[in-house]
Amino acid sequence: MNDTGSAIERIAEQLEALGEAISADLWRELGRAGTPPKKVPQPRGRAGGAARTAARTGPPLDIYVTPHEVVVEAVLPGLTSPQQVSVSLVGPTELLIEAYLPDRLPDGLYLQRERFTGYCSRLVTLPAPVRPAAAASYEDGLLALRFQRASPGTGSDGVAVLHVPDKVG
Amino acid sequence: MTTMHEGPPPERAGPPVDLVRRGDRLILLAAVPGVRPSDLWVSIVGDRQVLLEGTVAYRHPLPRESLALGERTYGPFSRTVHLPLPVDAGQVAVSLQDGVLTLDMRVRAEAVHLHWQPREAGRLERHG
Repeated sequence: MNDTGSAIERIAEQLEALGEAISADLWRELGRAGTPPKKVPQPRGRAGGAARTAARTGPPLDIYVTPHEVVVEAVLPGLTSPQQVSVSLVGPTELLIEAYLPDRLPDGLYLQRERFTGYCSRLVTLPAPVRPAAAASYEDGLLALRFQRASPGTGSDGVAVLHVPDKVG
Repeated sequence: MTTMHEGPPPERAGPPVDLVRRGDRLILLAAVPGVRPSDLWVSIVGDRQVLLEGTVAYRHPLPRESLALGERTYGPFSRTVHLPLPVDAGQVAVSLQDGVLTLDMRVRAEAVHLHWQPREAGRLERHG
C-alpha cells in the first residue's frame, strides 16, 4: 500500500457521488422547484473561498462572504417553530444545520405526497472563519444566518473579498 | 436504461406538491420557498386542474457567480397539477406562508362520499 493517500481520495469521491445520487430524490422538493440537483460548475473569482460540503444530504444552501459577514441561506420550507431547527458551529468554519420539517396535515388522507417532511441535517465548511454567534431570520421558507467573520475584511487563506454594500432594510 | 418517452425538461417540472383529502375538502400543499406572493400565480383550470406559475427571484446582494456556494434554483417555474376529484373553483382559499402554498378547495357536491349504513345482518336472508 504505497498509495494509500490516493486510494482514500478515490473512496471519498465515490462516497460523494453516492451521497449526491441518494439525495437527488430526497431533496428534489426543497427549494429546487422540482429540479433534481445538478452539478453546477463553480466559476472562479467568487468572493470568498469555496464552501466545501462532503455530500449533498441536506437542504440546498447559498453561501456568500462580505467584508464583515458570512451569510448562509438554507431552504427549509414549512417550519412552524424555532425549535424545529438547530444551528451549531463545530469549529470556526464547520457549520451544522439540523431541522425537522413537520407534516402539515397529519390527520388528512394523502392522495399524493412529494414534499419532504421529517429530519434532515447538513454539515458544511464555511468559506471563511466566523465568530460563534449568528443573526438568524426566517422568511418565505428560507433560513438566513449571518455570521460575523473572525477576521473581517482580510484576504487571508485565499479568501478574496469584493466590496458589497450592506443590505438595507 | 431507456425511458418510454421524453418528458418535459426537469427545470420545468415545478414545485413538489401534496394532495390531501379531508372531509369534503381537497387541500393542495406546494413547496415554493423564496417565492413571494407577488411572484406567484395560481389558476384553477376547469374543475380538475391547478396551474402553478411563478418566479424564484434572486435577491442576494452580489452576483450569482460570486457565491461561495450556490445550490438554490432561480428563475421561472410552471406546473400543472391534475386533481383526482372535481373542485368548486369559486370556493378556494389560498394562503402562502413560510414557503408553503396552501390551496383549500371544496370538492364538488357530486363527488362527495355518501354516508351509508351496512345492511343489518339477517335482513337479506329474510327477504331472499
